[in-house]
Amino acid sequence: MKYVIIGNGIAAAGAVEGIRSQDKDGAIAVIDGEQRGSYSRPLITYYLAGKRKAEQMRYRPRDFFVQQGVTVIPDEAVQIDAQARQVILRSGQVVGYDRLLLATGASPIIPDIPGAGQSDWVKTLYTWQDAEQLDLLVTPGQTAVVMGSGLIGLKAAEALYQRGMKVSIIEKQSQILPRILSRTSADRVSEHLQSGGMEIITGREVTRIHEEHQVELDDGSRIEAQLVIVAIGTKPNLALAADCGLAVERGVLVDSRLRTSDANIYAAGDVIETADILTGFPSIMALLPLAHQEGFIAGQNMAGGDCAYPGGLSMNSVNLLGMNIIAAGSPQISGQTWLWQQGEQYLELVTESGRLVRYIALQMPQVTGPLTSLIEKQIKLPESFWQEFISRPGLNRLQPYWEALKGVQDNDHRRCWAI
Amino acid sequence: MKVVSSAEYCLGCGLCRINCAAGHDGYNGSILKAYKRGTPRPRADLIIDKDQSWLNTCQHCPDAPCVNACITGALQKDDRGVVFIEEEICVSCYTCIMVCPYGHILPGEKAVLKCDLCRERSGQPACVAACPNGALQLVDEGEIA
Repeated sequence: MKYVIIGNGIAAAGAVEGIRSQDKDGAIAVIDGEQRGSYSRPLITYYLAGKRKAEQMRYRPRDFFVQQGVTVIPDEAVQIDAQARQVILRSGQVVGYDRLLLATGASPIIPDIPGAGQSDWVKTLYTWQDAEQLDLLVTPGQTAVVMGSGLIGLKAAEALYQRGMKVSIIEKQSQILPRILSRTSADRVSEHLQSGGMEIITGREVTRIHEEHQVELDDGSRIEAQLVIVAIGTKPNLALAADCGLAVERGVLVDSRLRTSDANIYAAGDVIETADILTGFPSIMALLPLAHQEGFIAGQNMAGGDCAYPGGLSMNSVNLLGMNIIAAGSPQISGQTWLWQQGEQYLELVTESGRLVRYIALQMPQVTGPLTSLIEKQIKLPESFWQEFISRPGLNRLQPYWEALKGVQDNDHRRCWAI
Repeated sequence: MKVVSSAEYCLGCGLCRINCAAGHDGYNGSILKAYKRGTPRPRADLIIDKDQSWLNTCQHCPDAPCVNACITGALQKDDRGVVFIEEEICVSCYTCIMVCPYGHILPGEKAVLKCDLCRERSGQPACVAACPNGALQLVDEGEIA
């Protein structure tokens, strides 16, 4: 069996591990368009902040691909010939496959406003190379504007701030981290960042970036900026998939085995559209844990396994200027809200008919693991439990959960995916 | 392999945590060195409930969600199935804490803290060896349901 993986991100590493868990001998080729090896994308903001050196960026050990018997081809895939089962590379080289994995990831969205295209001072932060370029532009004392207050935007802002720049974050929604936090929790995080010295402007959109180093907002005001980072979101890299006729919507469409509309082609990671396990709705969930898990499951299936992917759960953990923020679940499901606050700690839960559907935890990571698990496993607990738990949240208040956990271990998709 | 903690026999004395800290970070089992001169960093928490207590040990899951979710590759599984952390690589993002169904992994300044079954020490894990009432036992997968 001959396997080809397009992309060398997290899903690709997961796929290599998944394939090798089933097939020790088949030839695997990884087409690495970025040509930087297997590195951890979230670490680029740590790199920019000066907290990680180049040799600390790897996601897997240096000899990973050698150990796994993988050929890495430092070239870009430009076309898939699904009929002939071939991938055509930029150099003209043609690579044949029996099973192909599309792990082409995503790219930053560039807003359609004057001046937002990449220039020598308007940048995106998505690749390691982006971080290297930005690193050279950091000038302490100067002002940087970050467009967007998602995770990339805020981590980028933190990095520039910690390098001594003045930072203004512009968010068009009425709160920061709009996809992740509630209004109340977002206000707390905003206060924390502002008291640290960052400027946050919400409810305002950038309408134009002027050549004379000014960013114009929709109220006509202008902010001086020596550097702009555009971080308003990402979109799946669909071109290869769409060009060869695979079914795509917002992302590449896959079935429960992560197979695309072509029987020999699978897809995993940020490029796919998957089901939110809570709502059942199709969703683009560009999250590292899901990318690795999807890659692993797709890899197993490419090698003859039959593993179902249950869909994803939105979850994020991030530290910003010393504040830990963890949130999981779906903001789309309404239910009963439970709130607990003490000093800088904050916990917000949303339950629906006794089932946890969302939580937001600030500065209290310890309880989040069981809470994530409660959402994933949709364990139903009586209102009296939630009432007691929220009165003093802690691992010692979870007895009914520990009991329930014993009964639900070892469900099918888990067994499929032993590492 | 994992350490199984029995709430029935646990006295809540905390010797497990003390000896865990002393068994790591180069203290060579010396409680004095760890607690008097060093920074003790136990790798598991003692959970004290209303009427019982237990050491919240790592299950070293075959499907370890923490290894899957780790953004840096710091969390790994060795040949014996022991889930351990390469501390130099960890950035304390706490993604592993978010996905551990047992709430085992502990926040730490430079790296998160978790049980490594004392993989670099010979004999029983420090907590098991220290437990005065046999509440902690090292078991092989499958021995206990």
